[in-house]
Amino acid sequence: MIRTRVARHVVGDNLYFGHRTIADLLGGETSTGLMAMAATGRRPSDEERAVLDVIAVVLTSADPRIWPLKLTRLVSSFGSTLAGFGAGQLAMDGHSIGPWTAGAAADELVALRDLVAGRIEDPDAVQGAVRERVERRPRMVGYGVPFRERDERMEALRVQVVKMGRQGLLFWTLQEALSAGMMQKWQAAPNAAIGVSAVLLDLGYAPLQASAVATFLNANVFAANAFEAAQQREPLMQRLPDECVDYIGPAPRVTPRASGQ
Amino acid sequence: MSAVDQSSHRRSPLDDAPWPEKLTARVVTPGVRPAIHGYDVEADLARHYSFAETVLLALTGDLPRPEQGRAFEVALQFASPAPINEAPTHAAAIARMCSGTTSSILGTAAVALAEQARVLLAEHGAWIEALSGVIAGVPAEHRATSDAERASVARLRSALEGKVEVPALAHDVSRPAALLAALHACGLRTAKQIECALVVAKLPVAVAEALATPARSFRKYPTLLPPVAYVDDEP
Repeated sequence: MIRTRVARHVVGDNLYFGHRTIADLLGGETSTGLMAMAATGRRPSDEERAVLDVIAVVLTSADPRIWPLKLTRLVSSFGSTLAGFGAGQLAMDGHSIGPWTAGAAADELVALRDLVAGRIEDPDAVQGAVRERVERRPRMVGYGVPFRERDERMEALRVQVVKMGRQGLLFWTLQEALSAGMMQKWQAAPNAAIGVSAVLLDLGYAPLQASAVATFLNANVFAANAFEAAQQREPLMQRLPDECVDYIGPAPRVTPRASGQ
Repeated sequence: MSAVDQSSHRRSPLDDAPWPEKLTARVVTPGVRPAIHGYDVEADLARHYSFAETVLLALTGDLPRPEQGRAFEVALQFASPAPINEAPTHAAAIARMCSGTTSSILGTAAVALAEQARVLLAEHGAWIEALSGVIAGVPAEHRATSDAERASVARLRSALEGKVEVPALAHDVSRPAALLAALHACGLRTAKQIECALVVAKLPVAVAEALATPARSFRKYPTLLPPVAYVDDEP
């Protein structure tokens, strides 16, 4: 027997993580909250829900030229919204791009916390741990901002974290120290992944839950591109002219069978 | 069902419906001696039939004649090119650039190829129907539009010679229409069967092109192709 905590259809209602959706959740829960429950299995507090909404908006970077979104549009260009949406979600399974990287970034912060070992109030202890983490690691998940000096999403998230009074929490504090260290040592600016992971860890999420929730909350950018591309059915997305390809493979040749050898 | 699920407040209409207790298999016999449509894979098919013939058997339920199997191989090979400027391979290459897993790359390619095939078959619906009868003429949209295309169809006709009869190839047909006619002549009759054959033909090639794309090679990718213009007017 496979156990599930997710859901059960019952007479006249649907249970969702122990809550009756129609009797209990309807009118009192938001789509953000339902998405968070998908990974945590518990209802978020009002404060948590507000923080998650901030993350969802901050992560709304939906330019169709961004690679996983380009992929989404290519697949949806034949007319199916869901085909492109699904493929776009799959593209993030490589853990190197997109909101799923929040989990790997969270792992970095958890490792840093373990290194600090409870001495968060001691600046020397924090600095020492940061130095140890950044030494010989010019590339770290959550750092590096292509095509611009700063990740505007990270900057905006920082403003919101301060507004919400969460800047003194453990993982945000560690993130700021790590970001300063990465900037100083490698000139690698923090991107949204490290900021989002810090906020989610401070909400009590595990790294894997951080990956999942960040990805679920970011579904809108894939949905928007998949939906529009499916309506457009753009021939140029379905097929670019041959002149757009620079072939660098082997020169034309003949198989031994064809040449009669 | 657990005791807690049987309590009255957790009773579900799904529990009360008359469900069968087993999956139904219609093509593959499961177990240590797998068979496809009744033919032993390891002791029979693997020894006496090509992979393409096994695919044809799986899709149609009938063992192909040797010439029919060879014709199917020819048709699959003509269908196999999946260049990077076509969306399925392009998308799979991006999945690879994003350091995608095998499931990400294969899944993207397979879904996009199936979408591409679905659209192709939808555009040729009347043509597929006509292939079951006598071809009196070719609709304008399915005629060849260049000498290069006519030459390609001629090569297909030549490669199929002596294997299967494809009367449609006697006409001035486009390459896609010719290819669909060849697959139809091999015994594939429904759009779904032909779509599957097209995906089977192109998938290895699309994935090969994607795997040849270096991971994280974003700087070498033409991100601005095709150009996109942002408009902020109301829909």
